[in-house]
Amino acid sequence: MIQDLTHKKIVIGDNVSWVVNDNNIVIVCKKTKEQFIINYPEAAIWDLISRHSDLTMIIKKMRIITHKTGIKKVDKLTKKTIQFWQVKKLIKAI
Amino acid sequence: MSNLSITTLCNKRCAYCFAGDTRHEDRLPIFMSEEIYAKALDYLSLSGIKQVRLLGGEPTLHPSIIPMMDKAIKKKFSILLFSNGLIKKEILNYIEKIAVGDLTILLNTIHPLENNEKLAKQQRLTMQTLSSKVKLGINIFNRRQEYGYLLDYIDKYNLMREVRLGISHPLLEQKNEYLHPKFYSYIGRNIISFLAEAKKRQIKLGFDCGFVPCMFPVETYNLLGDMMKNTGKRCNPILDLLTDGTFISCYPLNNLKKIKITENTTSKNLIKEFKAELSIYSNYGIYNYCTECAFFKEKFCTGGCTAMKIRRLRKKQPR
Repeated sequence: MIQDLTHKKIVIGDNVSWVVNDNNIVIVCKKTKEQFIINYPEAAIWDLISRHSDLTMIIKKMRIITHKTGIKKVDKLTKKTIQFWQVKKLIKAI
Repeated sequence: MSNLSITTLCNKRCAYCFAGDTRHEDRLPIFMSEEIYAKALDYLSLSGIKQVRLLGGEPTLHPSIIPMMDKAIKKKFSILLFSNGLIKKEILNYIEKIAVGDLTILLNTIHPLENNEKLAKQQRLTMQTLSSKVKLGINIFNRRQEYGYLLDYIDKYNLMREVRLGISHPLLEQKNEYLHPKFYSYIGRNIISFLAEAKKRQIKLGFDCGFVPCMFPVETYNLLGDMMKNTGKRCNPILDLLTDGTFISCYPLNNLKKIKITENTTSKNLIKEFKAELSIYSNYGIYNYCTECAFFKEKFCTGGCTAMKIRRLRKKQPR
């Protein structure tokens, strides 16, 4: 089930760890034995989540980080990415 | 390849010891039982492995080490004994009588800097007595270590003309001294000097697991020759059988997965299971730049030791 994450704090899921590489972030879920390779700009979203940002803050910062892309496009990318990670239980709202 | 850890006892305390996790707090029986050892030999036969690799702790401290070696030789196995060379006279005499070719001792030497003359003397006696059955090995855990003395030992005691170089890797749950990857290129250059000297004396070098190609300067790849072939690919399940009859992928990863030995266990099946377990760590390496490295992209290197990779993982921070 996808929770409404607006105004909620998003945190990294249980059993999830990650490694920051020069060109990507690799996420490892020990429970499901899955791994995900996240390239930029999605990797920036992960970085913000790992720093305890909420959705509003993430969207705000992503607009700045990817300033060359249209705002609507950035917002859509951010929400879609977060939704996907939520389904995969890599993150959760608290 | 599989190692049988027949005892958790050891008469030496090496700071880098990779078996520390299993030796701690009586987690395992001190000695492997006869029953499990018999099962282990059957497993080796079933897997088509012709060498019994005995390690510990110090395997010669097992009270039944002589009958165990006897049994292996009778079953036409050759023996590789991983030892610190601090071997009782009675066992030393037994090993001396074993035919060359039936047994090799991989002896991890006491570094002159350890400054323990009593132990060093005992180790020298082992080298003197067993000479051509002894292959020297060293675990590199400190960038200040020197290796030149190994070549002198080989000449002095007429040992096998080969040295096995190993890198000390971190344990996941306990502290041990290990070589941090930031020192790898420094060590790589030291090894090149050592190799040049070894070649002059017609002594071969061999790498254990965890070495990566980028630790050596590109211009030295020719000198390294065949040693470079699998240098970046040596992080595979070694298959260590513990004293309680459970297999682990290797000592540093002993807490990840354990598989009990049964009469149908084969190395092929074990490797498959352990590889599946470790596959989630296959998309990155020990350095943050591994994923951009041509060696890694072209699968010439798997990114180094998995235990080291796991240490790089970040976890959820408390809020």
